[in-house]
Amino acid sequence: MSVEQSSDLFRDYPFDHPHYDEMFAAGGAPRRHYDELYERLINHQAGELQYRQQASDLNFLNQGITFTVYGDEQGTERTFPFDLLPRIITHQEWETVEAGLTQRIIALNMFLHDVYHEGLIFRDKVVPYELIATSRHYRREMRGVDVPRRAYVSICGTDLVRVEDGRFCVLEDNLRVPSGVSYMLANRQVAKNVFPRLFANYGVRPIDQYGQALLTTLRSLAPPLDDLSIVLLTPGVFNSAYYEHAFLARQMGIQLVEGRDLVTHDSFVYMRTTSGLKRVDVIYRRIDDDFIDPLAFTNSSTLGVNGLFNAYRAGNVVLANSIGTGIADDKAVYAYVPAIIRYYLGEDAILDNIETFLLEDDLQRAHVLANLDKLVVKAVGESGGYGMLIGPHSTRQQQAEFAEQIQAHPRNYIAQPTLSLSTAPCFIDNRITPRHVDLRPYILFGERVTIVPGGLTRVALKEGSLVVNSSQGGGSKDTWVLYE
Amino acid sequence: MNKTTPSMLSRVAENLYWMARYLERAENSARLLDVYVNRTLEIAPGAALRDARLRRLLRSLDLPDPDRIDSDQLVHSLTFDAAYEGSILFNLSIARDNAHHVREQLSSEMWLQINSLYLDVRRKDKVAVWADEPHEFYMHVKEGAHLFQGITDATMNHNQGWHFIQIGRYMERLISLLTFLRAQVVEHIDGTRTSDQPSEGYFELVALLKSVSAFEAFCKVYNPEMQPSWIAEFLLFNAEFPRSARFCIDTLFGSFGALADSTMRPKSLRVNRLAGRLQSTFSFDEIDEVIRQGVTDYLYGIKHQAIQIHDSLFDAYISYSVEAALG
Repeated sequence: MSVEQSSDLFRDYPFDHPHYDEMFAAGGAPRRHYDELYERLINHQAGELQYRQQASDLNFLNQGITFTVYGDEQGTERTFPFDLLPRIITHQEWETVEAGLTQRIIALNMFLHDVYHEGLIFRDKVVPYELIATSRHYRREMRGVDVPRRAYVSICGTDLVRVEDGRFCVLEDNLRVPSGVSYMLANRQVAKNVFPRLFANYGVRPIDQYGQALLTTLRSLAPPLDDLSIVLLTPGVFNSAYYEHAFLARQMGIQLVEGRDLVTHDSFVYMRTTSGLKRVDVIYRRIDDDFIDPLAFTNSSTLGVNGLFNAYRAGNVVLANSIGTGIADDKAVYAYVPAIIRYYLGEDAILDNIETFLLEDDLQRAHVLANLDKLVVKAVGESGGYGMLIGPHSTRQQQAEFAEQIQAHPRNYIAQPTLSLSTAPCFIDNRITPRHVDLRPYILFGERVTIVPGGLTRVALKEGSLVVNSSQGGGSKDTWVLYE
Repeated sequence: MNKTTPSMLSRVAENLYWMARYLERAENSARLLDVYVNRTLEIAPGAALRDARLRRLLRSLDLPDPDRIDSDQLVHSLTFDAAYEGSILFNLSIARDNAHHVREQLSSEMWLQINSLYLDVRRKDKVAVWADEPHEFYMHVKEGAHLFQGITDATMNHNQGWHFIQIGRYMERLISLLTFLRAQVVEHIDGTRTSDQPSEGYFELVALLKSVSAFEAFCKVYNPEMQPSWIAEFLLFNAEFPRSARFCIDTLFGSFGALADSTMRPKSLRVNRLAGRLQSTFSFDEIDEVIRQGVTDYLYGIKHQAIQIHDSLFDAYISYSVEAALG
């Protein structure tokens, strides 16, 4: 069928572009695994989709799936925008992604162990030592500390993008306190309600086991005690991800604690309960390194627990993730990950990196400074889409400011070509229209590596925008990984 | 499924306790202000009289007595000034903040009620409140607090958390009743208070009972020929009126017992013993004897015990020292 004849919903959907579209192959024919969804959509009227959109929005609000808006004294909460149309990934595509992510997390944990112990990778000149020593996230205090199962990173969220030829590439690793998994789970609940029959016909692999898998991972980091006490440490109700913290704690049936609920004594950690002090064995912490222990790190923090680091170093409590993991998601270290995989595992990286220019190198810096209008520049220690220059969408003034910053602190920035992220069809303003998307799968590393199929597909809701972060106008949609 | 009773964080218990106390305090302010404003409408008293009443109102709320009183301004502040400690809005905002911190532990209906009550009062068109019928506004606050109590009882598991809410509510009720009795009733009993206007004695006493929502309940027990000593007896020792000191301590004692059970503490915990002692005081004391020995001292002694109970509650469950807990 030619596209012109199809329903009004797809009117003006562009097919002539260099980037990859998740639903349509070049020329406008739907990809095979999107056939059924496409058939459903062209038989729908906009009104029906609109009705389903409203029902799903209400569903999110009623479930209280919200994030707090900073700086609003009334504590207003907003729902994270949800797009109705699922993003579909084939079994074969997922196999590659899963193998690639597994390989990557194993290598990154080996790298972190090496960095904080012998440093063989520096001796062998695969990664320059200066790169680590100058990283804001390097924690000298972690040198020689033995981490259970060498699981420095137990919970990882890796951002993948699909490039022009349809390959998934790694855009960045989030190895500190990745968030968003609650939206992945909530999106699935809602999508099942919106398209029940379609969902059943498609044969979608389940993800609801995430909470259980996370609990199993956390358990595997501690000795096998019957009454193992595991808690989730949150910065508190004013944190934008508080909903997720409460949600995960409830899913796992563990206590949601704040720093002031925990005390340390003789290098053990206890929580203060009405039944007295209860020993804590494992802490799934959702507080950054900087704030976790005022005695060991930042003094001004009131979020953390005095003496926690001592208890950790003494091996009396497990932290997931460990401390100092941020060095491995430093954007300058990212450039070395393929080499890191080769060094520890003797394998080529299954998932490619995005080409990255390191600005301490004179040649690369010169190239970048001459092409700021075409490249994306990122601050190495930032996440969440902050500290970024998107060349083609920037003003001369912004470019000049970044040029100055780069020359002053070349170690603090990297540059990458402007990516044309893949687009996926979204239901916006009563028609179906493409928006750029990425994919954040969640990887668990304990006794084994567990990745629930799919992850959070984030959507840049503004037309043409490449920024998918929730804090900057992003939304999300459900991700369907098919059995076959 | 794991069905053992999960332990409760001390912080959560503390938030629930203060949430209930501050909500009760807001309701208490609303009742006293309602009666004050109403009395002022009924008969326009002279400025001196009005000021005297207002000072008594401030003492009933345990608030400091200012040098100069601007009646309208003060009533407005006591109602809507979020920065004025003791105002309805101030109390509601603290209650709501405490609820916000433990929202996970509340039923969603409870959160909805306390949050919307707070937002209603905050957004209220003040000019309209004073121009129309302030009584309706104060009723709205009282009903909002009652509704929260009803929702709490009907939608929340009656577990430890529920008991901490009960304890907060009845502790505040007890302490504010004692403060109120000292500020408003003692002088009637002592005879140190000559009525504002000689013929007003009866209305004074009715207003007094209405300030603690006790008029109807009182009339079912005593004949309506008011005696100040009967009022004191009723408010202190009646076992059935839910705002009497006796009722408060009975409820507190019951909840302390339930708490000790669910946290596997001995019943001989200090907080339980103190509450038991106060309960027996209220069971056996007689008003004539209390009056002979001096009501003010008596009330002072009771309040002191109530504060000791609060402290020992915190010592046992909330702010115990690490050393003691591990000892």
